[in-house]
Amino acid sequence: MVNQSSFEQEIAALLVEVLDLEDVRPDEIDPAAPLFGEGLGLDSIDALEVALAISQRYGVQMKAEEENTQQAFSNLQKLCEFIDSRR
Amino acid sequence: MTESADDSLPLLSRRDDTPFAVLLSPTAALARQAPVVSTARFRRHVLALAEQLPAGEFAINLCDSRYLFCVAFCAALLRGHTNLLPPNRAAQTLATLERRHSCYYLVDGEVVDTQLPVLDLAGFEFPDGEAPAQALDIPGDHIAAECYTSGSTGESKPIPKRWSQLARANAVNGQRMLEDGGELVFQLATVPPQHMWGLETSVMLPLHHELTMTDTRPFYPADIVAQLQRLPTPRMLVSSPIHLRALLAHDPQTPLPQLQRVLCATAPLGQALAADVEARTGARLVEIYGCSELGSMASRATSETEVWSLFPGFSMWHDEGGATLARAPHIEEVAHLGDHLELLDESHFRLAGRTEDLLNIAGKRASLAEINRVLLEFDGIVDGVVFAPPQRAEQRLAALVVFRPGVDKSALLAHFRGRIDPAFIPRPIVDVPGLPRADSGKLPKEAVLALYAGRGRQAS
Repeated sequence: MVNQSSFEQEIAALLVEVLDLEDVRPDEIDPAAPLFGEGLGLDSIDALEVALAISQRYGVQMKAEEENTQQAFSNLQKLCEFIDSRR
Repeated sequence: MTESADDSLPLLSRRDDTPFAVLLSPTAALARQAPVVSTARFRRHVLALAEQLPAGEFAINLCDSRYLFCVAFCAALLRGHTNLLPPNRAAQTLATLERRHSCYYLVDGEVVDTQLPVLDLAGFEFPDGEAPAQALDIPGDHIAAECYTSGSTGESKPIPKRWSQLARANAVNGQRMLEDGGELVFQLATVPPQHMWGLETSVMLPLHHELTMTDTRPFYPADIVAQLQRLPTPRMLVSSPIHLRALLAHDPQTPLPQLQRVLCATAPLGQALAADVEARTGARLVEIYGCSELGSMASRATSETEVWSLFPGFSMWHDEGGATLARAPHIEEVAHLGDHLELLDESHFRLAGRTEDLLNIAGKRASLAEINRVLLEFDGIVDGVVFAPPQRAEQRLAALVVFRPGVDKSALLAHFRGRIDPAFIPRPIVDVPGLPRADSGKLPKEAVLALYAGRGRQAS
């Protein structure tokens, strides 16, 4: 169990649901741990799925051309800040 | 057919004054030049780079910018080098390529951990201005590129592509992929130039047809829409089902840019999705069937028919075991297709499912047997199996693994990450006390699925 804000809990649950991460519990996702590569091990297909879910639920568009998008996927905390600042 | 060295074919065959490329995301040096690159200026860039390439025989071409990839690809050909096109960037994949003697890397900004020479085109000062008209011929028998079928590494077999094969296929592809009439069309592609599908459509087609390429590879739907809007009409999108599905789901209220044509390949596209793409973009959607060994070989208008029409000169047949074989007019080798095909007549067929071993995830292909081999190479496990669970929306592999004491999943994940494409890394990896092997040592599929359905609790 790691320390998550309530919005981080919400997005962690979204990640687990959208990506079918059945061997990960939402409350296990460390907000500061990388989502791709060595952390949760997500890949580019996952990024597409997450981007779609975020645009559908929060109306926030991910665009690779914006610097912030690259950072947004670095960890759960950054992803939440990204969504929160745009919705 | 065997080519003699005298059978040269042109590198470029299109009008000098038409736009070869539109640069939406140029490097600093290219940003000082006009963003629309004419064929003659492209030729100047190729000639300038060819002079500066490292000595060697094999160029590992990792450029992400499609334009720089194409300039590098052509420069290597002019120097008589072969482009090596790795299916992924995993450390082991690159290590396998580096075993070829006399290699060097061509990158655009990426940092590669290697002892080999690396030329970074992001910092290359491409000269401005147009090269005078000049015929650039490449020997037909020169191995222009090596592609790789597999999304996993290790023993994956290189598929050599002679220049004559690429050039001849390009002529047929032009007939089947482009509108008649030769009107200049602006193309955006979401697929990498290093894969056969991207190479044929977004690198080869512009060399010999009046088609303008774009340097980017947009990924998110919002980027695809924004970049299409920056291109003049008529526009063409080259993509895959996974990107098209995302594009349609993007924002059903917002109109999508109008397109003349959409080309789709890498995995079967549903009829409803195809019709939806056509309705939302005004495009004609043409789906292409192909394989790395032979390239594109058939097409269909998916919204109207499920029947594929073979390209001229190709043939297909079943062997005694029921496997489907195919031959291209410009390649001697016969290819074994990973799909079960129902042959309707000599030039029409239907897809009837994939064979068990071959996987296609997000347009990348790999062999399940090979991924299992990678799993069993990991010495932190006692036993294990990777398999494709049925009925999962986004196809992912799963694994049942018996770990040695004190070893956990993260070590196995690190092992996979260095060796196979992320799309094939199993998820979930279920930690089990033992596998339901029969006395013969075989692992019955039903028992694996039953154990998986209980997520590791031995099914009674």
